[in-house]
Amino acid sequence: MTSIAAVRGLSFAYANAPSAVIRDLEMDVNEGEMLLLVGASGSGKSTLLRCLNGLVPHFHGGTFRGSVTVAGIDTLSRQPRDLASFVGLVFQDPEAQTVAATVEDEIVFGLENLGADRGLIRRRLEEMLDALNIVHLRRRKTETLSGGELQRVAIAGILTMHPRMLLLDEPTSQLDPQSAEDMLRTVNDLRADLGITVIVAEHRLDRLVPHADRVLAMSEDGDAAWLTTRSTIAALPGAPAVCAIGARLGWSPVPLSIIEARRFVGRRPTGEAARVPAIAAAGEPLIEVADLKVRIEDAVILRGVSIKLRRGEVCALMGRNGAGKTTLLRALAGLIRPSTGSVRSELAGGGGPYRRIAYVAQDPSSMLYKDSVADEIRDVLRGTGRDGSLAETLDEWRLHGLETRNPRDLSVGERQRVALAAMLVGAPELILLDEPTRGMDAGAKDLLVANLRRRAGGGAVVVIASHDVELAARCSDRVVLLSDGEVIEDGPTRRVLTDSLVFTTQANKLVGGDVLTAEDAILHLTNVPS
Amino acid sequence: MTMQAAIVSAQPARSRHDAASALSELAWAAWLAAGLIVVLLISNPLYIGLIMCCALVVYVSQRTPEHRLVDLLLLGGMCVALMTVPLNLLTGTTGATALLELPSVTLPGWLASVTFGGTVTAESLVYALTHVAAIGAIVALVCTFNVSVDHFKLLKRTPPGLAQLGVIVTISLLLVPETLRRVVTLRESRIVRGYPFGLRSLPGVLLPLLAEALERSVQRAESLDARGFGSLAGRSRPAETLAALTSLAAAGLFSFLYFYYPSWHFASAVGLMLGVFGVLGVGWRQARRARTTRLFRERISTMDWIVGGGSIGAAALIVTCRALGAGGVTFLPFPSLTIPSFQVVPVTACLLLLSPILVTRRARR
Repeated sequence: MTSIAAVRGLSFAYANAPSAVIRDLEMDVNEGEMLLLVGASGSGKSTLLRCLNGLVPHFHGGTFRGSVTVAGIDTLSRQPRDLASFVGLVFQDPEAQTVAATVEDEIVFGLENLGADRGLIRRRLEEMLDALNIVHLRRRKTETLSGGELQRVAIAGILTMHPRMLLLDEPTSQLDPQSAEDMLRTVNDLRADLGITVIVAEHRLDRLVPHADRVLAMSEDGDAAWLTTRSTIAALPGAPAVCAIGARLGWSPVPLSIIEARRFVGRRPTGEAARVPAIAAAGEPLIEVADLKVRIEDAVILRGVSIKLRRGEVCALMGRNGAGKTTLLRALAGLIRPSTGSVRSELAGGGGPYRRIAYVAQDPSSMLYKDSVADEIRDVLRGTGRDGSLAETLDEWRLHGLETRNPRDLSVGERQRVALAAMLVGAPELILLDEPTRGMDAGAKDLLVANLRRRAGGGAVVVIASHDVELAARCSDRVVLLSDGEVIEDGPTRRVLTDSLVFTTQANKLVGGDVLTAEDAILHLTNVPS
Repeated sequence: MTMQAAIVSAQPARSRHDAASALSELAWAAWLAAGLIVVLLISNPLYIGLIMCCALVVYVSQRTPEHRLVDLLLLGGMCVALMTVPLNLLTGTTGATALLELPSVTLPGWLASVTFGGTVTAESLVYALTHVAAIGAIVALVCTFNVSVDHFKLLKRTPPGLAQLGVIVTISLLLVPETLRRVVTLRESRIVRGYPFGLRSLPGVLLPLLAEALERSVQRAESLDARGFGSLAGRSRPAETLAALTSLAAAGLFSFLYFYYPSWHFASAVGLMLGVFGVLGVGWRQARRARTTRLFRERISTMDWIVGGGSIGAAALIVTCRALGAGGVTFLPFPSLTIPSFQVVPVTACLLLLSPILVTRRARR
């Protein structure tokens, strides 16, 4: 196979960073393959992608040793713009990538810069709008898009360029399950038809592992190792459910996809949604949303939403990108005034509302403005008047060692944890989280689930807006499914997330019934008479 | 490709202008440049006040509710301009018409023996107010430009040979809206932390605010570079670089001669023009070599020609008046105050800067 990229003895440390983020990396990337980069937050996945398109070191400075060659060109000898016709990078944060005011302008910008023929640009634009199912967004202004919509537009903007090497930095972090499937199908089509090489850094592995030719595991100390066997992939933190199930049940070879696992379990029973009773009225009602309608400028974002949230409940708001999840969360936080309807709460006691309400926005960077992690936590304690301790919070969110660091110097996943630690310090009674697992590795996700369950156990209401079905399955008692601003389903997690082809977990897709997690599936499969 | 593309071949030609602004970026750029030239060449307080009023009227006609934060910027600029008044009054004691007497302090010789206080004169007051109007006019012109243009389209209008300069200018221009956007998210972050958000909380968050906005702007620059912006401009040939630098140096030298050696006015004006045309010529030559494509081509409408032509006309009239010493565009209140002249030609030039409001209203109808 022809090599398209060669990395030789690469070490890189950001300016003022205590240690190198990549150390002595040797790597060859073959033309047409898909390479998956895995590893904890801050392990250098994004940095490696930026090395491959020249943004590191041209834009970031720092100490760069070794060499990176792409399509025979040393990235040090040319500017990133000169590599743009070979290498396309989809940024982790789509907002940072967006430069144009309208969706169409944003998608065609890269091709225009490469001097492509106008007819070709037009064709590619239409193809990509269709492939990523964003035709309805074509005339929209980019600043009005939801996070997931913007991510799809950002991906379309790079895919239209048909680069020889495509670099994707957590491309599904804000995508709903259907959009993630659309994106992956489009990338695979381009691989099959054009032979492009794809390198993906991702924490959500279930969709990508079956397609990856090789997996490179990067560690926080700067080292990297190839995962050469299926059992090593199954042992990864956050490995796909089918791998975990297969490894536990001794299936050989360990399956990487549902299709591979199917031969061990046979056909999934259909039409058998879990028979789960309606949610028992566990705690007393804390929040009641009645016939809520929210209009922003000319658009109606929410219409006729009515839900009641009880103490001790973890509720997941799910739905496609642009369904209105963030708007509902912001209405619950009191940051948006409803056009009609009401949000009534039973939160009582002295102090302002945010003594009892904690809200974490989709972009953690937007929440942080102090010079150190410890100052962020102290600032929230002082402002809200909550009772809590810095040391306990650092313990709770495993932030020891980062307390003196500036949040702006941390990775996206680490910033997310800092935002959660700061905003949830003390004991707020209503916890509102918008895409809390964005950029989070498997360990941090486990920690999040444990902390939220503990808070709910203490009587708090937790509301999570997320596309992460696995998180909802593990963490929530109830799922509210939104579509086009309306509640289309509201019920126990096991009922809403089963017998669906889109909003369900890999374990349920494999086994069916009321199975949601890998543990459920193992229990179910070991109890089924053969 | 296995994807089935639905090619829409007969889509109607779109208006690429926003509802808020019916003008193209080129017309706005001409308007801004003309406004700045006029303000910098005039020292008559009546004309400068008129230009400031025109710029404010155009700003009001262009702003929408989402530009509330730019209002703050405009207000802040005006406040800074007003702050120069006491400084001018306290340091400028020349003039024949005394208004009041203040105690005076003279700094030691090693601090240039500057005197603060003393006699406050009507001449100093007029001089100070003229400065306020000039700064206010510049702030209003820049704010209007910022709310009216699409920065991205402006960037795409940059000649390919000047792509990197275009990125720098755009990123600098984006810093203002980026900072203002960040103010909104920061306000929310402060609210959910239980703090009020007002002017008093600004000093504590100003640095992180600017740092975050700067980081965002740099990320945009990264995105532009990673998507090949300026990649087809080609490297400048040594002869072109030499020609551009020589033209730039000539323009600088002749503008110096123009302002400080009045007897060389004509020759230095011709030299200055040649220098500017030299720089533009190099840019044009590089633009011809570049092969960038634009899918959606902006049409230059009649309205653009009206505003662009009106703006160029305004600048040309004032430059001519200044070169001929006519129209009373230059005014010095010292040594004794006289009534500044108010003549048809300069007033017409100033009023031409109002043209965007007429065009915008017509477009909206």
